[in-house]
Amino acid sequence: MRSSDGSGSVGSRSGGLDTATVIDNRGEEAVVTDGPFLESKEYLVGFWIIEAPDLDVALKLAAEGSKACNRKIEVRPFL
Amino acid sequence: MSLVDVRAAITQAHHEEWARVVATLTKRFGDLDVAEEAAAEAFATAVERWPADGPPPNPGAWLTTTATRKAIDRILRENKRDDKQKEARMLYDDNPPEPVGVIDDERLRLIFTCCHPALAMQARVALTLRMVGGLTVPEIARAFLVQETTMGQRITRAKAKIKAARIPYRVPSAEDLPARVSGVLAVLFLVFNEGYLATGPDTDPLRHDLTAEAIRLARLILALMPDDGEVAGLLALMLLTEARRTARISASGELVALDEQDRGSWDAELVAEGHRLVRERLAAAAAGVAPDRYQILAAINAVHTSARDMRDTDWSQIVALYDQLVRLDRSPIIVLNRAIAVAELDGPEVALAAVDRLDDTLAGDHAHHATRAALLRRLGRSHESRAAYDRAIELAGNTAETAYLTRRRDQLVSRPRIPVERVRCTSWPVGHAAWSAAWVMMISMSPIRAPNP
Repeated sequence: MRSSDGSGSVGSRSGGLDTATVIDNRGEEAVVTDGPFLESKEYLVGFWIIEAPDLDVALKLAAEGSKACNRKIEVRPFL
Repeated sequence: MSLVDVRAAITQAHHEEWARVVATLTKRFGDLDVAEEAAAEAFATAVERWPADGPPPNPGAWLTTTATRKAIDRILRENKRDDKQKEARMLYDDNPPEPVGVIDDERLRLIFTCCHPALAMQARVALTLRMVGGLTVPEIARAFLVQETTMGQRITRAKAKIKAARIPYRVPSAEDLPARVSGVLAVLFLVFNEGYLATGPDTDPLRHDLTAEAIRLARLILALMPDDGEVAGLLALMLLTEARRTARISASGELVALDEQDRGSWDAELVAEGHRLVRERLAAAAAGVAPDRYQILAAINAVHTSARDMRDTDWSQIVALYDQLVRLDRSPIIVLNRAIAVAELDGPEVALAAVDRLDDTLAGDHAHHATRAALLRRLGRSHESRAAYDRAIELAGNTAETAYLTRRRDQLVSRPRIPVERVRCTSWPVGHAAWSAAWVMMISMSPIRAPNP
């Protein structure tokens, strides 16, 4: 899959594992944890590319996304 | 000025100014790494220069200026090498922070960034102790019993994530503030708890360095956010616990339980300060501000520190406070602690029933087994009590705690288990009547010989 400007694949343009943050807003409260999905059983079912000034804003959007589609969301910077 | 005075001045400046210097430089240069290194260099320069020149009239300003020069030197040096490097190291801030209380301080930004939920808990603890507390990497490594290189990497990785994942350098918005403050307090509570009862067998059982550092940071945060009840609650909780520190360990290095502590050796000054904070929170609660967990825990401790002894303790008040706490958090550890208070109010049998209901969730927790052991002892069920002590000793890591549990276990009145046939042939005296007749039958544990035909 190509990124919007066609310069590289999305996979190669996301930050490394060390930059990942997971947000789970399926329950009553949004739970933020560091690191990528730990369970190998968790498949990637899709992704969004969003614009946000910093991680706090990105996590807020991810929390809404997590609630809306009832999934955990992993957030990484798009390099 | 004597060398001793200069050293004291440097130590004091380090305590008071380190976080401010790091925070100011982070804001100015947008980079935690640069700020940390320049602050460390500025203090190294102070150690070199102050003995000869004398401490400057305003140490904070001197240190900030010196650190800023060091940072600029480093950036100029690196700019020559690579312009892009400089660009890569901007932190993403620059929305003006929302005002928090009356004091807005750079140090708050630093604290919230170091305790960001996107960092692993261990990383938050290490980063906070380094950047806000000013502890060195070897000191932090020693505190948590890991290799220096491991701790260094942990801090480096955390700083790298802040930069790469664009964790903002700012005080969170009013809407996010309560959750984020509780994240900061969780970090301090963890540092304090490790000092209160160290987990490992290879360290001092109580770590005054860690409890003192946690208290210092809590005081700083309370000064920055004086209206936050939970910050005051946590500080009060720490002070009232710290007040009992010397009474909690015997000369032989054994943990002293609350009922056996010399209450006269509690630190009256810390108790008074803790009580004052608790009273302020009680007044706020009376005015309709619902207290959260740290305030309730502080209130429970204040009931203990107000009592002359165990019997004088207002246990119904304590159980009522635990009820309030359980409504906020049904964690099994809280239910366990409530049961201990219930034992004093309603007796050990009621408490044991509550503790036994936690078997599934707390099977691997030494406190659970130690509590069962104590309750079973009071019920006279020595055999079961001994088994519970054995399990607790197996699971406990803290040396003082292990020593205490071992002594309590060995004090259990051991009524030897007599095989049934032996009891029959010797007609074991049943009940107290037989014992009061001033003779004791010593039963040997040696193998039983077959009775004579």
